[in-house]
Amino acid sequence: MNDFERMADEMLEKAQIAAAVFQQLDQKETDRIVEKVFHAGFNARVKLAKMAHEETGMGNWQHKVLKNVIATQLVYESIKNLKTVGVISENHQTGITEIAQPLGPIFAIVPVTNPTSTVLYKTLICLKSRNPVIFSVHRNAVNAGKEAVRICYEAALKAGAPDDCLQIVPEHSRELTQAIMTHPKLALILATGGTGLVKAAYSSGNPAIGVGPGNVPVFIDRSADIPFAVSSVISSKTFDNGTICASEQSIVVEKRISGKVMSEFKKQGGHFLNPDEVKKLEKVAIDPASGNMSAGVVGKSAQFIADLAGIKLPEGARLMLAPLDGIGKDYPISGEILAPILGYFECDNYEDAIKTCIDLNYLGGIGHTASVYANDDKRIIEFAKIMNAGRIVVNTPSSQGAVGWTYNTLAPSLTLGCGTGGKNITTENISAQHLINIQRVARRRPNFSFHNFDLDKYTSEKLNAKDLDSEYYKNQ
Amino acid sequence: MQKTLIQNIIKINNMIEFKFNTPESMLVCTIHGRMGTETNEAFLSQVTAKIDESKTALEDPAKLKVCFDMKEVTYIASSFIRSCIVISRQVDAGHFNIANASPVIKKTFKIAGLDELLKVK
Repeated sequence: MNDFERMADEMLEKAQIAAAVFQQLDQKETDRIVEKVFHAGFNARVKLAKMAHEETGMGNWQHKVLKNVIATQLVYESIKNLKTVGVISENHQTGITEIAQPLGPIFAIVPVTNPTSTVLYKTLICLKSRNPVIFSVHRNAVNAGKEAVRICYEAALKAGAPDDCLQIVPEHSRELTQAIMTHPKLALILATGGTGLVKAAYSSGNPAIGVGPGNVPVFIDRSADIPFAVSSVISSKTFDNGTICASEQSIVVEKRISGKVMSEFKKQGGHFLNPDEVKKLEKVAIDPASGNMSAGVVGKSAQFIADLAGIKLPEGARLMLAPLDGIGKDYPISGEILAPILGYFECDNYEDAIKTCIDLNYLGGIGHTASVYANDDKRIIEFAKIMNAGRIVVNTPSSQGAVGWTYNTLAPSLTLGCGTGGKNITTENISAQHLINIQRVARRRPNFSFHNFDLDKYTSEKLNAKDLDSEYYKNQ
Repeated sequence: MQKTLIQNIIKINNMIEFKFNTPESMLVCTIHGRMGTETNEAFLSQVTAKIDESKTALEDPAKLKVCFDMKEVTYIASSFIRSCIVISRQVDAGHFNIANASPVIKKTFKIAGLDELLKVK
């Protein structure tokens, strides 16, 4: 056993005891802990936002305050009445009684883009489901993350939560992460982060809910309210400088409305780049080794990135749009960039626009999020059916819309399930109900057809499905 | 501070009964109620003191066996579990066991992965 394995073992041993103690608590005791932790996290929202901003240099602290509010107040509001302990449902007709059990120790990985809000959110949903958590916060946000964990842990202990219900990895190393992920005592990995990390979580042999990158296409339909749509996109893509993985990545429009859309963007603070400027932007926004976004621009303002690239932005510009002729590695701006940068696609017609959205959707964002602005419900559903996305947000800023509760009734969450496209088991916004094992007590409710059927008939090769079917349902 | 400590000890006294059976070298600690974090320190020191006392009463202290009778225990905190491990190490290997645990308490030790080590019945 090496040092990392020993460290992982010690943490998991503590977490295992915490899990054992936690499962003794009833709903009332659990809810009290969650309420107290919510209060503590909510009350620290500004301090934590400022710490996260200062440490990471990403986004702005005011928007991070709002993220912390989503992660505490809105998450709490959505889970406070949820039954997560003991009998959670009883159906006398079906004879099924459902009993919730905790999963056990959870390893929660926290990204640099939303460090404190992710800690607050994951803490609340894990405590609500009586699961202890081991946090691993991105190395560039470790102090803010540690402080968020400390605040939650103190509040949890005071409210009667078990010792070690929240822990944080003492140091960052790939080996330690690997040792925890693969540890036999771990129940689940709740991974929010980059592709490599999510892949490692799924390869660990332990159950995982891993959410990786998105590449959100935004289709602005001819039926859309264009000034409204543009205002919504800009407010979303500039929110915390685009650090939410559900933020818009490319705008797709038909040629017939492109002029109006472009002029509206210009009016509201969008700057369309010329081909030379696109090249300059690519040099700073894309990491040449990986072909993905460069860490240096993540969460930075449009002005900062423009200065870096040597692009002169008009006064008041908050967002850069790169008109593109194609999608994929030859057009790197068409991929995910968590910054106020958008690809812009002008398509010949509706079909061409939808096909462009498909290509964008499948370029690293399968199962995540898609966005549509339209006032034609048929078009909305057509678009939704063709996208491979866990959530299709309609006439809504995608960043805030996908994380739920503020613009729609999706569960507020900072881990967005991406279905099998994203190698997830669910397309839902992850919350406390995903962190329980549900046992089903199945009382005797005999199947009338089956019990009245002469089972010997199954052994006859002369009877086909149609013959058996009519016998099976006879007298019904 | 002093007052709190005194209160804890009183509470502990209400929670544990010691019975020492010399011929069998067996110290039985019958525990009652919730074994929370707040009472654990006093609990551990009381049991440790009783173990020391029992050892001195034996010709061969290595023969001492300790049993926690947990029939009346409704909840155990992490600190209590850790105390059980500490106590089990104060006697020879195999000389500590937990008897009469309720199903919930048995499951708690099971999930903690300690039911075999602490011989929970």
